[in-house]
Amino acid sequence: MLKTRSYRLLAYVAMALMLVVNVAAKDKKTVVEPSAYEITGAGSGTEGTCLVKVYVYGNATDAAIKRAAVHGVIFRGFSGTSSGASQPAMASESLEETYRDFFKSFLDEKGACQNYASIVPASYERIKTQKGVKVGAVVQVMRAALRKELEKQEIIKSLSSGF
Amino acid sequence: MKKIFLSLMLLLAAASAFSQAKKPTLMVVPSDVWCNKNGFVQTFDNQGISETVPDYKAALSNSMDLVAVTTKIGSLMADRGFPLKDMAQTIKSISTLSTEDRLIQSKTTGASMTESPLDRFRRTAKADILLEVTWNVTTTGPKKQVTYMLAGKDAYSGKQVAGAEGTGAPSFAADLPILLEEAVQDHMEAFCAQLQSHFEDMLQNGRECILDVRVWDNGSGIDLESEYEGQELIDVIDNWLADNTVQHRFNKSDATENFALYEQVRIPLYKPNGQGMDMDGFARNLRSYLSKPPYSIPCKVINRGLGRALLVIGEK
Repeated sequence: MLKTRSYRLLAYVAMALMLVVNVAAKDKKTVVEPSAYEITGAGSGTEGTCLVKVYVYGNATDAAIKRAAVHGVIFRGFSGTSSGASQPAMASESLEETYRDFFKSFLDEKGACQNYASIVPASYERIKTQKGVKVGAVVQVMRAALRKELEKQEIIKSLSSGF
Repeated sequence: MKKIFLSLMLLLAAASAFSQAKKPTLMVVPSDVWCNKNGFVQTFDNQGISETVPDYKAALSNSMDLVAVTTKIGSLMADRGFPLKDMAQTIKSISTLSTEDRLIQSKTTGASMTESPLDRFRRTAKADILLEVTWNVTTTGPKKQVTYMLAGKDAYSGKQVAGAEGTGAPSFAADLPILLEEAVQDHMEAFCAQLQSHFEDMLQNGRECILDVRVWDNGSGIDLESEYEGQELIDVIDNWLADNTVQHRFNKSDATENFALYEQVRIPLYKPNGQGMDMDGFARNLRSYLSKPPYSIPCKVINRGLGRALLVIGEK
């Protein structure tokens, strides 16, 4: 009887430990999974904006495509613009973890990131791959406004900071 | 006593919170290659040798593309909180102010303002970082392709602190001004990212400057090998620099008994009172050190901009 109780107690402790480890692992995950989308340049945008082609894996909604575009412009950068220029990331990937709370709400599918991107009409694409379906679209990202917001939140520094 | 100490600490904290480093000035200039290629150069005879220099005034007055490119770079930099010094405006104001200065007279004696030949020579368009822009258009049949280069060069050290370059995709339809506008806009992000790294390095490790040391030819017998308490003057200067630079960082590139060239001198961005520091202020501190015993050497400091100064030893 006592032995059974001990085993049961041990099982509970093990389960609790596994739960803690699982929660910790989930916490370390980035807000948007890097493998969930692809981003590349799609020509030159008007002043203060950039045009990117984004592919999101799965049956992605417009909101998911826009979220991936904003995430890509902030943390990944992209190449393939018509003028041959590559665009560096606005912020290092580690900042996503440092400002996790901000990015969790900002990059939510209903978050403020949706205000900084718009899908170019008639640019949708749906491709079947070995990994599954991926949905793509050309997105215009308001890069200057996005940068100003991140500067306002003191996540990135402005060029004139310190002077 | 405790109250006084606390007040002092608060004052110091407030001074450091509001102190700002001296902001470098940036100006867009067409590169020498571009000026040569487009014929905006002046050739003159320099003691028998024909020399060619870029004619910026002619370039800015005649090339619509150059005006469009400089304006676009200026507006993008202003948007990033770093407005540029406009070259055309600087050239114009130099000319207007020269005329105005010649006409100014004092009310009491009618005296005009003093101006040495050096003062006149120094009236040129200057900036701390020059953004040299170049582009080239390749035409293959109806297709146009633009190669664009932008290099940010430190006017004192000559180092390239930022750069962006690339060749765009060939275009059938777009006109040259549109291709150029796209190139300027698309390359600006990478350029600004590199410029920001340079500024961050400066804020962390001090401003990188150059100090020239020379000796007056006045027959006083003082040169950089003169000895003071068993130390040569050049060693005294070396030690002072080691004590006053950020992390003791400087490099004596060249020296004889008559001159010394110190490069990569990392000076602090702020004076102890929180005021911004430049190379002129730093060299003035060295001058005041040398003017005190046991050296008691009078020196002259000549300002050569935010990042370079000349210290002439022997007299004012």
